[in-house]
Amino acid sequence: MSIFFGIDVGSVSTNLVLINEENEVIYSSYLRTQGRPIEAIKNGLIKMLSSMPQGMDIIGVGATGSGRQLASMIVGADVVKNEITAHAVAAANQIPDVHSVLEIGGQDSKIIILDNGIVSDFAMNTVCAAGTGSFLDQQAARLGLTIQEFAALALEAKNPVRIAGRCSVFAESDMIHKQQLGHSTSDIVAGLCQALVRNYLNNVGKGKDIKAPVIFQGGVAANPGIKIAFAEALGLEIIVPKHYSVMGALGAAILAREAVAQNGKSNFSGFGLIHSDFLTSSFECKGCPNLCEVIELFVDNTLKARWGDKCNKWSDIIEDAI
Amino acid sequence: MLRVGIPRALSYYKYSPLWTNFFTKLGAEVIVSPPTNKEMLDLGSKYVVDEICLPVKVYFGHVNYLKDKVDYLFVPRIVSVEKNEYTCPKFMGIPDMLVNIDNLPKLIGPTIDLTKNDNKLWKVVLEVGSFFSKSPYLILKAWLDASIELKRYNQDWLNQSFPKELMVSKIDKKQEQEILNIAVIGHEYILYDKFLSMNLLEKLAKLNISVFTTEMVNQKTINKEVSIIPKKIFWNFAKSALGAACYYNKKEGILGFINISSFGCGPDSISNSMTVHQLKNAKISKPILNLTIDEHTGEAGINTRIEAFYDLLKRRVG
Repeated sequence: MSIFFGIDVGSVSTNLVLINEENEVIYSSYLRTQGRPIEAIKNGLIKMLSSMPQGMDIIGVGATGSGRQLASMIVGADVVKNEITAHAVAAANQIPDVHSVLEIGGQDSKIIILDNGIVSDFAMNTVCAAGTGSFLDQQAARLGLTIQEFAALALEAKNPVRIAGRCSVFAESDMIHKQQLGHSTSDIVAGLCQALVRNYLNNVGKGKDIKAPVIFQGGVAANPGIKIAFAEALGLEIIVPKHYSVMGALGAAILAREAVAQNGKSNFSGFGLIHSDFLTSSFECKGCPNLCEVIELFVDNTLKARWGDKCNKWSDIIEDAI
Repeated sequence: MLRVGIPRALSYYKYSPLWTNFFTKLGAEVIVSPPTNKEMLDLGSKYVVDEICLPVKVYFGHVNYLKDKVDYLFVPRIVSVEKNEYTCPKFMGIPDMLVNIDNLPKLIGPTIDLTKNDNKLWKVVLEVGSFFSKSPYLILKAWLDASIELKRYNQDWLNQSFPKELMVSKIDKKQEQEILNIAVIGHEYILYDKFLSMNLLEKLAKLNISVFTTEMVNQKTINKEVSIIPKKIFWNFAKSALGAACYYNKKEGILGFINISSFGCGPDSISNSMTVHQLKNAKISKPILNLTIDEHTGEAGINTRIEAFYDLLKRRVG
């Protein structure tokens, strides 16, 4: 059977999805990136290959997420796409008449408005990552809760407390003050969910025409506390799709299927590289006062790629050599 | 020969032909700092007050670069360039904030305030010129000659092209790919500084996107467009941004907007919201991408947004 592979390398998670010709998900995995994207990609691939049934033939690969270039270097992708497009494609595939997509990931949050399956407007958080998944992670850890326990607690709240959500540093000190006053942890956790939603709607969602059907996806959609807070704030039903945590990878796989259909062939080079040794190192280029941090990728001790320089002095040399 | 240093930052992008030609014609050697680099930003951040916007930090870096290389530094205090309109509080405070930098050369920091009376400008011109010449005639002549250069510079924009001094890359028209037209709204000192804008214009040119900016719309049109706002907008740039945005929204062929501003910009916090509000309430609604810049050097964030915006435009065109 011919299948397509999508990979989404994000700041917090690395997700892999396999789909068949009908865009049906036949395999998905969600792994923590933990600041080591190369290892996460390799581990994800090894796990995926070991659980892949016989007779499956990967004939197209798509990469997305902030680590998409890196992923593409390791697996040889047919399509390397930004997260917005990937998420929109996946959402429209899951709920064909979707109008609004709320997505909260590890460091990014975005809103996508679609019109007849085509993106008509979108926005992403600006310079600040307040109110994204990594903030919830951090606060759960501070309260000594796993993120699952955190979500469950939010549902028990009776009187959610008001917490300043504009900045994660302010939110943290506000939470501490509320704790010292004696509010229950569940009320504080629920208050935090509301603060995050308020912040999202006031920043990312500002001026956006949010109408039903509304999909909520991304890693944070696993948290029912946030889902309820969204439903209350918007007065709309919030749909969390089945594959909410791997929508980016699903979108990348769908885009790969389209690309291969268009080009008639794939760049996919097989998984031969996953047992190779990948090593990145960096140096500061002293060629001009920009002092760019140039990153080098070594595969089995051979230099394979360089990036990070503004003038392409270093990245060009390597491209010529290859 | 006296050397005058001009920082390549802030109002430089608006008035460079005027300033450089004025001083050159008066017999001075003009030294303009090179395009912004990371070292300038680092040094700028060191000397400037906290909580200031990125373009001002960079301005300080440029001053720092020039300070040992010149006899005079030209750092005007630009309060207002149009009747009852103001630039920005930070522009007004620049000469005062510069005292944080050690071993500064002599400053030429005239106050340019045209809120009330236009004739004041002549006094300022004579005051600045007196550093280099004793003849009021020569000073005024240098000024008038330099003004012609400024006019040419502005005319380039009004002819829907970028002045050659700005070195904006052109779209390769030989390609068969379709060209998409968009409007980019943002301060010229961000847009034309390749370091601050993370090469936005070049990135767009590579995608075959043709860019129209605020400077390409004439003042008359801008004033007409903003007359729909009940209250007079007294921030000079905010007025131009809003007027240009309303104009481009009605103009056929412009597919969308990119709004670029720096984190912590006071006037922009108002003008951006007003612009978005006006555009959303207009009969035709075109997509808007908001970009905010700060000290981030990783370009992944801005690339993702531009790429996604490009996909959006492409799919809308069909």
